[in-house]
Amino acid sequence: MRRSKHSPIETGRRLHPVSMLYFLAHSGKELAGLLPLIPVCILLTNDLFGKEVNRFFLTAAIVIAAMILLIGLAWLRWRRFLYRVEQGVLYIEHGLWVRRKLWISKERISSLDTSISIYDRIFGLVRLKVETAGGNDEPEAVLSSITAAEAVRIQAMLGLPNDAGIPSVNESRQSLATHSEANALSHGEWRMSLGHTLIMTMVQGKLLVIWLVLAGGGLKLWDQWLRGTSAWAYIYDRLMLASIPGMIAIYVILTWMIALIATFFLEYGFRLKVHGDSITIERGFLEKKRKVIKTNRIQAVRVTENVLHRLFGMASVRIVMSGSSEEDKKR
Amino acid sequence: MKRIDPRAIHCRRTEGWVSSVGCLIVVVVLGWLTVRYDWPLWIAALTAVISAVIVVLELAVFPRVLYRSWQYAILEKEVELHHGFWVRKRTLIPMSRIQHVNAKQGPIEKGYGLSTVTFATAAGSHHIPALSEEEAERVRRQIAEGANINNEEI
Repeated sequence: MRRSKHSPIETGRRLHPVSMLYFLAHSGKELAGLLPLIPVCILLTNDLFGKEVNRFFLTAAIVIAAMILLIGLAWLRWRRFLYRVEQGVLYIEHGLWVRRKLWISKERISSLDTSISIYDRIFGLVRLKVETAGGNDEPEAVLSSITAAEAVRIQAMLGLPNDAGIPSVNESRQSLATHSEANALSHGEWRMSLGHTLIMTMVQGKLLVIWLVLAGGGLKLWDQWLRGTSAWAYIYDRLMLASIPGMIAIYVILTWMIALIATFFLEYGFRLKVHGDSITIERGFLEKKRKVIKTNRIQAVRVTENVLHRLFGMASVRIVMSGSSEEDKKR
Repeated sequence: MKRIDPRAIHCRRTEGWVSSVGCLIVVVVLGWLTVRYDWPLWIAALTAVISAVIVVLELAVFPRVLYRSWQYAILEKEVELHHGFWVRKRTLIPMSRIQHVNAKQGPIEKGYGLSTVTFATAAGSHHIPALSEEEAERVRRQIAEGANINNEEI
């Protein structure tokens, strides 16, 4: 009651306008269910006007209208998203039709993630995710596209180590050069070397299996579909040279390579820092991710060594926290 | 023990009107289809009967049930919730276990100045429907203060 008086006056801050991209993606996902309406609209207008309207123009008009609607919605979402930090409480207000307010006090935050996506990198922005032990797996609050300085400010106000800093754009460029150095294990800081990263991506067994299963299913469907078309005969003659086992081998190698590159990009530049009662984990090549975990929030630590890991003397460590996702690393 | 805001009855009733209109539209469309394309009569008739029941429930029963079936108390160290119509449930949430607080306000609720407050604990979330905005703010503050006491535990 005491403070409730000035809180409506003190308005929150807005995100950087670039975050409209994020909202665009979000509302796009939500409105994807309305996509079948587009052909329905086209059919209906023909009925409405009584005579045949030019199909092309009609489609173009509807698509453009949909785009304007989407962008408008994203803009509104951005306008409606307000946040502020006061007395150690992060407050977020958002929502278009349904207004949502969220309060998270700093004692309850179990991890703070920052990630830099590709489009954020251009503008020197970061995305901050706040997780508490409550709720489901997805983070409780996402501040997409705020400046790095602002992220540092929020972290400081929420009582997390700020001297560790947020990877700024400059630093992330710099680190590309420095990461190839041998891993330095000093002062509670551990860095995975390039070689280790490579080995690790090679032995990422589980991911590959999933990939192969998925790809195999896809291939089979594609194959069946192709067989029905006349184009298949044409391609088939040329590829018969390689024969089916050869094609399968090529495909396996291809998917394996893709999986390898994907994991390599994800895990590139893995860095772990222990700082007082919090652990900072950094990784990623295209999208740089950084996670700050409070040690007293950790519920369990799981170490697994599979056969391939043992060959290289590595192990994977998983940190389990209540109400959120976990981290995976190898050594 | 406190009851939720009495405006909740009106608010719920307004929501009831919205769904009633929805029902009416469905019935009208079905009626039109029956006349136009000679559909069997029972489809429209059955829908009409079901809609009538839904409308009565939505307008006359549910708003009161909602109001009657909810009670809550925000104490110094815990939040107590009593709810349910047939089956009465009592929930006790210690303040120190509350992770974060959410308030949600739909367009109709906004018109009445009400919001639904949700408390998330590590093992799920609980909500109180239809609190007035001031009350929601008070509850929120109290929880924030209560949560600060025991910050060692999760």
